[in-house]
Amino acid sequence: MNRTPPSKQLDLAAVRVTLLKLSDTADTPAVGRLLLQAYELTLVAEQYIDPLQAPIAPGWYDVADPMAGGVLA
Amino acid sequence: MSQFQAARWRDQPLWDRTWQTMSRPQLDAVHLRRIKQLIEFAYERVPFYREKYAAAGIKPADVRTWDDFYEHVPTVDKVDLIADQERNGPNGFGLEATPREARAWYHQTSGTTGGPFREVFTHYDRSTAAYDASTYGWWDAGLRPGSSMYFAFNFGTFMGFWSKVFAAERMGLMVIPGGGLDTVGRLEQIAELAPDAVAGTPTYLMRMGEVAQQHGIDLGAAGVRVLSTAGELGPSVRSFRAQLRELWGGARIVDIYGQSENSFGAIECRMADDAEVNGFHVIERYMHSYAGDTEQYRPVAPGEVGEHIVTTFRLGQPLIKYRTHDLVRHVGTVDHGCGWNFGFLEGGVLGRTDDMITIKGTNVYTSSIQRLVGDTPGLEPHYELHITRDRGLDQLTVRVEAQADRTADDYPALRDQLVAKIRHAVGITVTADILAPETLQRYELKTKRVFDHRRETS
Repeated sequence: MNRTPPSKQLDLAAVRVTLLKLSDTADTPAVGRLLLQAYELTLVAEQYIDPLQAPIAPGWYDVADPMAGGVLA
Repeated sequence: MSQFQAARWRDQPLWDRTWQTMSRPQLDAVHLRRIKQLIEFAYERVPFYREKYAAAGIKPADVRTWDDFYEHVPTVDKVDLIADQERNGPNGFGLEATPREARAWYHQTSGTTGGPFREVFTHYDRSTAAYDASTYGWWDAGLRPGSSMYFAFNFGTFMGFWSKVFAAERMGLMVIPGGGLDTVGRLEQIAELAPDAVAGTPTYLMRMGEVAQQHGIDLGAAGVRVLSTAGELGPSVRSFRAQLRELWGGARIVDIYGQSENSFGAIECRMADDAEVNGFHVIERYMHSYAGDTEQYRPVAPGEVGEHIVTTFRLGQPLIKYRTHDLVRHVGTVDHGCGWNFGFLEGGVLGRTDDMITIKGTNVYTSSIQRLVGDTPGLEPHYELHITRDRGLDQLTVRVEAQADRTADDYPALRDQLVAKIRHAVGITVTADILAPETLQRYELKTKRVFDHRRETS
């Protein structure tokens, strides 16, 4: 029996990578910006759900590797 | 049935069970991990931290344990923030760690200590750095998505009530901004719209209650269930709290404690009204905090009074071991029936290291005078402290309003009672002036209570 709560069954890191790629390749600023915010909210959600594993900052804060899924994970 | 009505989380008693019920060992583990990461983050991005840590002879990798953190990591003070801000030019921000594109909100401190400090918050900070700390207390007080909150406040650069707007958004409350109206206009709007909650400073909400009575506006009929307060000591004085609740038809009070630069990150649980529990839970989701001694800033024993030193997990301007100058009694996790495991600041803010005034050689915390005023039956919680100097001797005069049901004949006895209380508790003899109700000025933002005239009178 799977006892993992539904909110922990999501692979938020994978979702973030997808959102970041979609944002990066969006056709309009409106969509690109919205997807970037959605990406940040997945980080926030992960900090609530899995505080011992969640990154502390959005990857795009990291100039060296802006496409990272989150820095200092 | 709507999505909100069907949601499995809607009937849960706690806003954020994962964090609120986390065991102390796990909270410690999460905090230590985050602190190490934050130190690394700040060190890489903020010259101020590189220089400060170089002067202390440490690098991020040296901080591995709590002992390392408490013993070797230097504290940060408001003057550091101002100095770094000045170094970054006339439009610069002190301690900024994130890219320019991340800037989302500008705030500034009120400037009571040093100059005003410019604060930059990122969108990400809005969700991770106590911007929405109020949600914990509001949920506890019974507000739910679909409830409404009236903001009795003129919105400016001060972060305090903006953070509540964002918290209300996060929680799903309807925001009713009451900026731009006078007190009567706001009261009429509250009577008309019947919000579930009203946010404001304690003194101003008290003022609104008084004005409502004068204008025959029945706040009890408006059905306000929750008062969300911030910025002053008032609600931790039981007589003030009782009076405020009475004026607002018995509404529950949820007070929040914090400072703009370190975010408002500690809040009352429902037991503040249900069981007269007096103090704040630190929202440890957003910050680490401890009470430290005022010389080495090492933790004092649990339950002892020390300076509140916080590390906030805000990225726009990371604050690591920030000295708040507030004196608190940090008692760690306590079980007083609310179900929260977050650390507790018993009695709230007990004083300020920098609001200490020296009268006739005695150190006096002005907040202690406030508590004594609040504990004197027959006196209103509206008071001012005036310090003068006559022939080289300091004199403290407490000007305080009597309650409306007292006559001028009662004033001498009230005066003698208050003077005796202060002499017994603080050890100095003061002069007290008992005033008629509503004599003293009321403020919408932070109430000015201390007036030091010594330069004028010496």
